[in-house]
Amino acid sequence: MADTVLDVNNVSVEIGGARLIENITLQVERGSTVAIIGPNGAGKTTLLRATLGLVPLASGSITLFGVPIAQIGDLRRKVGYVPQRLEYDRYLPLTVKEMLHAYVPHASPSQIESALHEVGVSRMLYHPIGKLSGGQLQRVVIALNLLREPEILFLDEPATGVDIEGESRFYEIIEQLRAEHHLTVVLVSHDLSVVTRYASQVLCLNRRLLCFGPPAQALNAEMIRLVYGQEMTLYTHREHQP
Amino acid sequence: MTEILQYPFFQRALIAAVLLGFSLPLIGVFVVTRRLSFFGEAVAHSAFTGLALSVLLMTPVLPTVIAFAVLVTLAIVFTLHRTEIPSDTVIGVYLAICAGAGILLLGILQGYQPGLFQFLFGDILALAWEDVWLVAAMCTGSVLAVLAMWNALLRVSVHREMAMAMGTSAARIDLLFLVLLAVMVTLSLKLIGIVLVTAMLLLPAAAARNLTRSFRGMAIAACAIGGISSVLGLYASYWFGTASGAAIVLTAAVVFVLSVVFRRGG
Repeated sequence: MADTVLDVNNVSVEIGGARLIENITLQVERGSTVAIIGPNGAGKTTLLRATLGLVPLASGSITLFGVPIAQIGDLRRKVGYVPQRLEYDRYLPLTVKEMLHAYVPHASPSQIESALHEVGVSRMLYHPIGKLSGGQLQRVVIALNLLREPEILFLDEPATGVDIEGESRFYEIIEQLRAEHHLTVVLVSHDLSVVTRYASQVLCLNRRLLCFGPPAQALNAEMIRLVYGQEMTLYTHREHQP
Repeated sequence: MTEILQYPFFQRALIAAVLLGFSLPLIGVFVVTRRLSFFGEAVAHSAFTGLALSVLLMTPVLPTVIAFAVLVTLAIVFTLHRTEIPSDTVIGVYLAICAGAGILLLGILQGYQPGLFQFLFGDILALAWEDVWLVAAMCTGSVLAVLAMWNALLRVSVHREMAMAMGTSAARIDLLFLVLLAVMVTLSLKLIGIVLVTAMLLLPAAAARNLTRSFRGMAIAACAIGGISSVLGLYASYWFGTASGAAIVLTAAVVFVLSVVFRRGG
């Protein structure tokens, strides 16, 4: 029997009277990688924020680890979150070590070193976070999440602002960590190659749920045109057939 | 230099200046980081209204002014929570309301109100020992409160929603910090005046930010700059026969200007 970690049931979200997502239903199984795709304004980030309990629901329900999201309390220690970008002041003299310590006060120096090493930024401990590149900073945020030992990791377009090579390496790290740490991953992405390569399930969203299933079944040319518009077509490489 | 130390009024002023010079910048580090300087200003100005209310209602001055400042803080937090209006606009709205209400109430009060000006502009040289004990208690309390909230304040400063997703109650931390800020600003007003409060909150923290490469370093430097500026400013006011509050502010301002000139990393 499948072990459902996240259960989103008929969820709608309204902000300022505008309905941003409508009647979304999905289940995320333990150990899977679910990618949420859709055009700008489709409600991808809203859905992610709703699953994290950061926005009120207009209707429907969300349970995480079998508990309604509003009552999750201490179970939040099992939740990891990598936002699109940090909203801090880039000139703030805050080191990587200080940021990690603020989020994970009980992490030992060896645990911190190991987490930074895992994501490939082991020599950045004393760097001010404002001096890091976008890719380095996102890796530090992943390390921060690893130190908390989450069971489910939410990522909101985590490679935004990272170059193509860095983006590819970034998702390889996520996949490696998912396998090694038995994580469940829910990520928002607009990159279809990422989705077809790493996701076990894909959710197509354009305010409403358009598709949900394994990429090979859900992502056909017709669905992509429906999600992104008429001008979009899927081309597959012979070595990367979905 | 030492003969002035024989006078109890100067001893009291020096102790209060060092305590405030050390503790206000520690709060100021988060005021600067979280861009709340306008909030401190608004709370300081709400004291006008609180003071007028206390005279009108014949209630004790300090509790009334503090209660009003906390009420304004709660109103700001509630409005921010309920609307999508940017924080500087919300704070500006309440600043305008407080100013309007204060002027209205002062108009109702007949005649000159000497207590009002003494309260708002303070005089560190006129402190009694009871005032010094009050300063010591509030500085100790505020330092302990900031240290207890340190990690949570940093988490909320770095990324509010990431902190919330991981279990930090950002709304509670905001409320606690803003109420602490409101109480400290209001309590300090009577002792050192409106100008010195805002200056001690901002100048040392802003200077330290220019000179350091870690947050801990910024906090330590801010406290050191605040404490040293207070002592030097107080002595400068004695030597040059100027207002003590202004001398302390200008000493901290000199450090800030130097920090801009010698800023690390350009």
